[in-house]
Amino acid sequence: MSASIVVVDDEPDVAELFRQRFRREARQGTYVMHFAASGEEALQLLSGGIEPGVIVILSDINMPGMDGLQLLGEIKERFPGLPVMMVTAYGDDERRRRAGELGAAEFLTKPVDFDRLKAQLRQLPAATG
Amino acid sequence: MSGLEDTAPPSVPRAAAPPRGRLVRKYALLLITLVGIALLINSVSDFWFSYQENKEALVRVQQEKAAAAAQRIGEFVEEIERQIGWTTHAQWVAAPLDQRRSDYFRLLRQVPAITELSQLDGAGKEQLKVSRLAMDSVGSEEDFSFAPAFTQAKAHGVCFSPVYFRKESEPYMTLAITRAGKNAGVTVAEINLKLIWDVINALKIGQGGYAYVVDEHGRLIAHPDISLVLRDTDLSKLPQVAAALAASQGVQAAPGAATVAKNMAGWSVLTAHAAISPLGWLVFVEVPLAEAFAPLYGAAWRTGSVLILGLVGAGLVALVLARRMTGPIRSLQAGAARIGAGELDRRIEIHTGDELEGLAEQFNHMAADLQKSYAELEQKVEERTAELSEALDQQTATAEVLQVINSSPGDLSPVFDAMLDKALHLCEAAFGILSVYDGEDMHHAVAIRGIPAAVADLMRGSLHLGPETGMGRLVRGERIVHITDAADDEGYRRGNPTRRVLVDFAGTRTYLAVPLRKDNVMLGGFTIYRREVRPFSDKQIALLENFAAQAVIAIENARLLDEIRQRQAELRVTFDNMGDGVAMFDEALRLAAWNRNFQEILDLPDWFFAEPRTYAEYIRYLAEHGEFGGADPEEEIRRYTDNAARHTTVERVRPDGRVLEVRHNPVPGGAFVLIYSDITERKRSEAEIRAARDAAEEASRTIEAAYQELKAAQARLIQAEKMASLGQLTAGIAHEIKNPLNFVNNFAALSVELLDELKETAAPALATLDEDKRAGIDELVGMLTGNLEKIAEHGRRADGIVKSMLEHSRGGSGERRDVDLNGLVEEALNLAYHGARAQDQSFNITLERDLGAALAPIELVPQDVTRVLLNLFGNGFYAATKRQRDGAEPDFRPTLKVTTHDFGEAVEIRVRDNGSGIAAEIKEKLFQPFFTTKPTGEGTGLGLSISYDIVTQQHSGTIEVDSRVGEFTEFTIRLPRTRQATTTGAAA
Repeated sequence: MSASIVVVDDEPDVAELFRQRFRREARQGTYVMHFAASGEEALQLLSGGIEPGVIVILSDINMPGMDGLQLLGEIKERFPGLPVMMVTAYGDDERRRRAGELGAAEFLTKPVDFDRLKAQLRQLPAATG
Repeated sequence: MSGLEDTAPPSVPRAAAPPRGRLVRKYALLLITLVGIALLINSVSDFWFSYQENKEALVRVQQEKAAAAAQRIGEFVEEIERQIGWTTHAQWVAAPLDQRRSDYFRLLRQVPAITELSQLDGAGKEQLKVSRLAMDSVGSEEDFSFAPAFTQAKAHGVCFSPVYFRKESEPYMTLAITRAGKNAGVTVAEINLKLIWDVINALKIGQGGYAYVVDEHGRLIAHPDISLVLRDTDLSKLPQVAAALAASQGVQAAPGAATVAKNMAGWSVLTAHAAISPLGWLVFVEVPLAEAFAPLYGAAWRTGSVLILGLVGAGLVALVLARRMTGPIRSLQAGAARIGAGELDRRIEIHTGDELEGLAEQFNHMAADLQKSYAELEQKVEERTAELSEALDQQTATAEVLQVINSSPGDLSPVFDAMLDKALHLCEAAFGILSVYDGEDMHHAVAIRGIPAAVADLMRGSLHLGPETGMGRLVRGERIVHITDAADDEGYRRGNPTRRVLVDFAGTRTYLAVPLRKDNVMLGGFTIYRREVRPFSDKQIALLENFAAQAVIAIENARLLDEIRQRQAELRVTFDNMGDGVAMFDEALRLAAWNRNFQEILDLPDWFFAEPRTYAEYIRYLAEHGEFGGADPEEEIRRYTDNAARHTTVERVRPDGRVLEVRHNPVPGGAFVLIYSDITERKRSEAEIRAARDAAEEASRTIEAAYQELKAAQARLIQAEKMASLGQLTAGIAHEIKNPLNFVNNFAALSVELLDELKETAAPALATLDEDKRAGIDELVGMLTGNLEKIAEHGRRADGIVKSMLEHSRGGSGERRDVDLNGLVEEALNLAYHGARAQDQSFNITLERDLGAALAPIELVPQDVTRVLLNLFGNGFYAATKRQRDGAEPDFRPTLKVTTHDFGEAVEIRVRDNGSGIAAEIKEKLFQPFFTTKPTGEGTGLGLSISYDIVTQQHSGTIEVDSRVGEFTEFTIRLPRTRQATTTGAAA
């Protein structure tokens, strides 16, 4: 059973990184990676419906335009059951707290520990519509 | 030589009666002396010369007698010698024996003195001997060749033997004669010397005179006292004998002069001698001196008596003469004494017709002159005395007036009265007025005498006295006004009323006015009047002026006294009303003056001042009443005396609680003044002021402290902001770098994975390739892998640095709170230890703890302090284990020791490791950011820098490092407790 993971980051190399990191999973079909370069794009993407079902949004915080936390708020509003994990370079307590307040499921600092991430992903409930 | 004792004037009494008769005595003595001397000289010389003559005569006589005796004896001996002599002739010798014998018999008969004759031949043999006493002998041939008589005779021709005695009484001598010729014989005869004895005996000189003979050796041959001769007396010692012998030996047979000597028996004798030539004997004729000079004594007596008689006579004569000479002188003396005593009318009577008479006349003239002078003097003295008593009167009067002035210094009326009285009396004036000038020609009388009452009353009032009046003239500057006849004067003629009154009613004629002036200021006037026309004498005018001067003095004195009294009263009031108590003690330390406040301030009762008090009594009183508390009054007195000359100020609390300030001010001369001020109020205000000031100071200190704290907080804030902004900056930079770094790491890691996959995937394909190609590909793949790993590694390093930087900038984010330091330290230690073990399984280290007991909580940021501790612990672990790794001693155990200590205002944490230590040059750079001694990749070099900032900036503490290379490194952190006292001790 495959699920979608949406990665939101304005840095294009992030997409490449995730692709390479999840190449096995991708080959095996565990996950399907979707990439959005901005918060708006991510919302558009979500709104347009993604197949397979999204199990998690991994979003950067510092993005031009709508930043990660704004996006978090939006997603929580529109897609309440959708876990959002913040993946950011800025690991300061303030952002962490805010993220927590806004309902982020996890707060990860870069560089991402992909093994741990993958472990956490496996814990997640199955994708919802 | 005057008989008067002194030359004092006649009025002086003489001390004693003049010596009487001295002159007479003098003259008498003089005369006596003169005559006496003359007589004496005469007698003495007379006596002397007769003595000498007598002596000479005697001596001559003696001499003659001696010479005669000597001659006789000499002749006697010579005769014998001659008689014998012819027997020595050669012919006689040749004569037959009988012839010779009969010749000898004849010789014996002829010369009775010869008792024996013998003939010796040339060889000394006896040929013939004829003797009166013994048997004759013929041709005996007895050998006498050795007999001295023979030998001597042969030698000298003749020999006189020494005298010897036969029968104990008869002197004999042996005479031996020879002729010249070789074989001439010697005739020896024994001579009886009795004849000599007879001669000597026969010699008589006076009563006691005697003669004696001595031989050439001084032995006595003949002497009136035969026993002496028989005893063989040796007189050679007698001086006269010795001298005579010497002389005779020197000069032959010179009769010596007579001399005075002592004889054998010791009497003084007059001695003369003569020598008996052939024999060399001496005849002495001696006469006892007494006898010799006996005649002289008679002469002496005579002379003496004559002398005395002469002296006595001279004396009597002298007395008489002297008396006669001094008679006139005595008269003169008496006369002068009389004149001296004052009896100038008596005259001296001397009619000796010589200078004395002249002198007496002079005295008489002098007496007459003196008489006249006295008379004149007396008269003069009387005159002078009169003058003097007059002057004395005046002086007395003046003195009395002065006395009055003195005795009533302030009261002038008795003075003026007295003055006026005296003036009138002394100046012989009838009446007088003493008036005072009131200015502008107005006068009023203050003393009036002798004027009829009506006029007097008029005078006592204030009168205008115009320029014609005496007083008026004085006011206008005249020195005195002396009017001989007031009735005949301008003033009177002009009709001046005062003048008219004086003249017509009071009968004034002569008038004298003298001003009372002080420094040209007119004070008043003195006027006296006579009822007759008789001008006042200059002396009287002078007297009045004198009185006027005194009156001025009196007035002045009274005025001054008044002023003084007034001043004194004013001072007294001031003194009494001074706020302070003042007391003055004089040089003898007696209380001399004090004011009311002194008494009140010190609660001194009235009776205390009833007697004179000394300082000691005063202090004692105060002490007894508790003024000094428990202090010793003697101490107080002693303290004063030690500081007597110094200005001192002390404060004292009185028993009733009031505070006194006592000022002691010495005054030159030894006195001092004490001033007591009640300063209780002042003290209180001072205390209040002090309290207020203290409060103000306290407040200002608080404000200061708060300000300081504010400044510190400000600094910290600025620092924090700086750090924050820096932090933000670094955070920003860090974040920005982090992203690319992440990619680097990720892609590097991914690439390695991919390469592995590639190798896997390509493995079967590779197997087909030949060795070279396969090796080449392997190599390439290997290199690629290695490179990628390197990239990953470096990426990780950079990441680490960025992380540290982020941590660094994150400082100050924690909050301060009270923390149990020991607990914090324990936690950190555990963390560090387990963390190190987690990283390296083989990590092992010995931990030592010395945590101060009861370390009170201290306010700090626990996370940051923990970070510091972790840093230090980490460094310590690293250093200790590194030393072990680098090959330390086999029993080396890496050890880390943690110590905490509470210093009250700060706490101290020491972290000590026994690593290799830190070299000095490294110590300096230790806290610099990015400085590390770890090999590349193992440390960022930011740890200590961060720790330093946390400790110093965040906690205002200090961090120091101490190290010895090869032994240890120790970091010491001191964290001050917060300044605010309110937060210390708060429960954690």
